[in-house]
Amino acid sequence: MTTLATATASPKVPVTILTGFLGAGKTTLLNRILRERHGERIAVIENEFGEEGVDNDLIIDSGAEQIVEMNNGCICCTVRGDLVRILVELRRRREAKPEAFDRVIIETTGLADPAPVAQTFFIEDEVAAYYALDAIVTVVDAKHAPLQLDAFHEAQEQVGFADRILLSKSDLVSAEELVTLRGRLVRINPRAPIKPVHFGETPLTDVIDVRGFSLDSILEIEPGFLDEDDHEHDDAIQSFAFTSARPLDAAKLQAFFRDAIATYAKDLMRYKGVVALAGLDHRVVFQGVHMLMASDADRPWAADEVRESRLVFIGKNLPRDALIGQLEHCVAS
Amino acid sequence: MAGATEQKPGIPLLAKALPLVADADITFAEPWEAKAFAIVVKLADAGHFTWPEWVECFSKEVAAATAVEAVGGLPKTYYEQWLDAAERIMIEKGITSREQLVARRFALGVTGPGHVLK
Repeated sequence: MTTLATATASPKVPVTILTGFLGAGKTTLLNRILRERHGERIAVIENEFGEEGVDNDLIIDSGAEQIVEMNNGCICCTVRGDLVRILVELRRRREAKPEAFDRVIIETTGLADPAPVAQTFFIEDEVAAYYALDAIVTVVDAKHAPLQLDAFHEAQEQVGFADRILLSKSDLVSAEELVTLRGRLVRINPRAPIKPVHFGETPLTDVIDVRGFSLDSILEIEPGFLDEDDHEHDDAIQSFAFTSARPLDAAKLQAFFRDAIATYAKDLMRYKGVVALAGLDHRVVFQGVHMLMASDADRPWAADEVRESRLVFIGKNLPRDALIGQLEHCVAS
Repeated sequence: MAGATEQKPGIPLLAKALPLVADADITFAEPWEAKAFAIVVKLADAGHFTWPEWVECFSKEVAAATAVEAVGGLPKTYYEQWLDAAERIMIEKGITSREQLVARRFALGVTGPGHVLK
């Protein structure tokens, strides 16, 4: 279907946020990507120059992180002032010289909260009009992640926000340790595929065109997550899924989200779903980051298809059972 | 893009819209009104429908809204009528669909216009 966007707009510059805890191997990975002969011209924005430099002719240091609160009265809607300034500057350069770059990768510091970085692409009009956030890719160090996840909430947040997880240094741990870590990562975030990466070697396609923020991308839930009974684990950031084979009531579901967003605000990190709304023959897809949300119509349900709604929530200390109970009340009567 | 050739290039579209304005001052009370206005002008400009097609669609919408108001129904502002007509012509021309409008309003109804993931 032609959408209004395609009818009126030109393609936006895709942006990847590369995050991961200190020493996970973000810079090594980035260097590998930049040296690969893929024909993509990539502008790199770094928060800080690490010991190992990044080898690229279009690399910009964003300087100190600058979290800016927006004037819309919403405590969630922080953006990164440093990024706004640089992205606008890069836009001007590309408008003058379109061949300057094709895409942007932002490498954040190990301690960065991904939310303000991501929100910058939706809240700042000048940025939103020109750039499209493709995905948040998180590098997780298999050797050190267990301790980092225990000790630093930022490490959990980076996993929770991820659209894709790249697992580095998995050769340094035993098979059992790897299974345990994978299980833990899936409980935090069941919708981000986990891919191993060795010494930064990963095809560019693992990092770009992930389409994590595309409404029409498939909602993948890691196999086994839905069947899991054991929800006894200590991580503050966890996820849960809700499925219903009966159509949902649009107004009730809207009320549920209004309430959940108002109540949990920053603790509700990411959510995504494919739902069957009563009275509508098309699948409705939606997703959100904190208080920002988008929804659209997807393809019609097939005649022989079970109209199963699936919703996934990732957040901090969310009362899973209570929220599932509220969602059960959203089934259309 | 039926009938796109009927639109002669260089005719200012705004001038043709003017006869339909109830009071002659075109002012926008809210930013969305300007947006709705601009979207229709741009789509016509791009050949998705002709201006006469738009005028016909908008006239029908105005007539329908007037009839509703006449029997005590909720009155609609000029740009509410404009928006309803814009949605109708976009559905008719296959630029969007009823399903897409319903689906997109879902998130809008949750967060309000300031918090939409663009």
